[in-house]
Amino acid sequence: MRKLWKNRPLLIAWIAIVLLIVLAAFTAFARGTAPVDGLFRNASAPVIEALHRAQTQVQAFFVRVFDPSGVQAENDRLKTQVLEQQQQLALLDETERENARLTELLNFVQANPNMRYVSASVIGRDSNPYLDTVMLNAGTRSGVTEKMAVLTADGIVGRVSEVGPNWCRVRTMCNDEMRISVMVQRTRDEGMLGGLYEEDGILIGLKLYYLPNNADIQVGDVIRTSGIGGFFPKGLYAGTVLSVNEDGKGNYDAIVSLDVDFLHFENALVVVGTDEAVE
Amino acid sequence: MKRLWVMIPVAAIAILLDSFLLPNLSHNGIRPLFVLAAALGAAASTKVQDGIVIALIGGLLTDLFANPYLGLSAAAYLVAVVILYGFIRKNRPKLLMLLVFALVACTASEAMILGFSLILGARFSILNRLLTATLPSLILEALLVLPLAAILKPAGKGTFDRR
Repeated sequence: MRKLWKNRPLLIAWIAIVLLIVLAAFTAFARGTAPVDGLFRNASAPVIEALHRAQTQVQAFFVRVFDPSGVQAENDRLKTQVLEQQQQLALLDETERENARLTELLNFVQANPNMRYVSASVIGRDSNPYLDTVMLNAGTRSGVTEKMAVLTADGIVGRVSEVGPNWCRVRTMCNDEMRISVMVQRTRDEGMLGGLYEEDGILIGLKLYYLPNNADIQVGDVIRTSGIGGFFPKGLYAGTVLSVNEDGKGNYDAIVSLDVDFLHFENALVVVGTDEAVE
Repeated sequence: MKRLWVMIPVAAIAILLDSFLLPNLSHNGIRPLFVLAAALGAAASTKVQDGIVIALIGGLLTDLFANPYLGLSAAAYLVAVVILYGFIRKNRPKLLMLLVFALVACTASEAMILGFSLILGARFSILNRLLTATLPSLILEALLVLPLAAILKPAGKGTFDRR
């Protein structure tokens, strides 16, 4: 055999080729049942698994070394994907918030069906920290005129002070000169609401004054518009009494909460008319 | 004996490359067979017996690790070694001729694997496969034969000296 291997290697090669083809055919046509194939493959399975693990590590190494552009490209692609998904999440979050705001406004409209509104979005704010005025994207084309009341679901925003074809400027309740006629819902005592009340530079609320002598007013009383003056329809929520002062002569004044978030509100309703006569 | 110290690591690396690394790195199916190239390199530079041993053991191990048909690669590699040896046994080949012979041997080997796969029901466009994957793979394999033959040459002999 040794002599044959040395002198006639090709003969051995051809015999081996024939045998190997038979083996290949055997494993192909009797896959899974060929005992030789099964024996070898079962025995080699742990080796294959170990080598496969090693190969994964080696492959990762080669990819890093020889294909840095591929890794970089993959990295860039994933970063872009993350950014896109973050933007989509932000949009979704924004949509949800807008939906909540509009739902609040819709609820308000449904609760006050006697008024006609134009909805508008805030398109500009004052740089003043107390936000004297805001600009909305509704104007004369939508039926908005000067001195109309502007509301949110949280309360009164202010009054239209300037108007253009597709915009208007609203003087908010934060303006120290704004005054509206209101009443205490529980007692129907009327007064004037306006002017900022601050403590240590912090805005607390609005001043309520010109209440009648010996008025019955308590902390927690709800203040609503009285309709006097004609600019604000009667019955709009204006705030809640935070504190009451009495000067010792039976004259009362109070501090009323400012519930509208003037720094952050984004949608508002302009009251363009009422179905009932409002004084 | 010294020959074995080179042959065994080269064959082992070729088996690992063919079985584990290259199947995952191949591009469009282009994948040179290192075991085949090593077997041809050994057959061309040392003894044909070395080539037969590498083809047989390397092919069987490659089949065991990475191929569905046990023995097919070994048979195909052996065919290539026999064909190459048939070309070079009479005349000492120049470098370019060795390259051509290696290419023919690799082609025969690849044809055998392709034919067997088709008989067993593999479905692919032969022409497309030949042009996009097989031909580039064959050229790479043939090119690999030369450096592997140089690595496997016996100490003190020229790379392609006759045995």
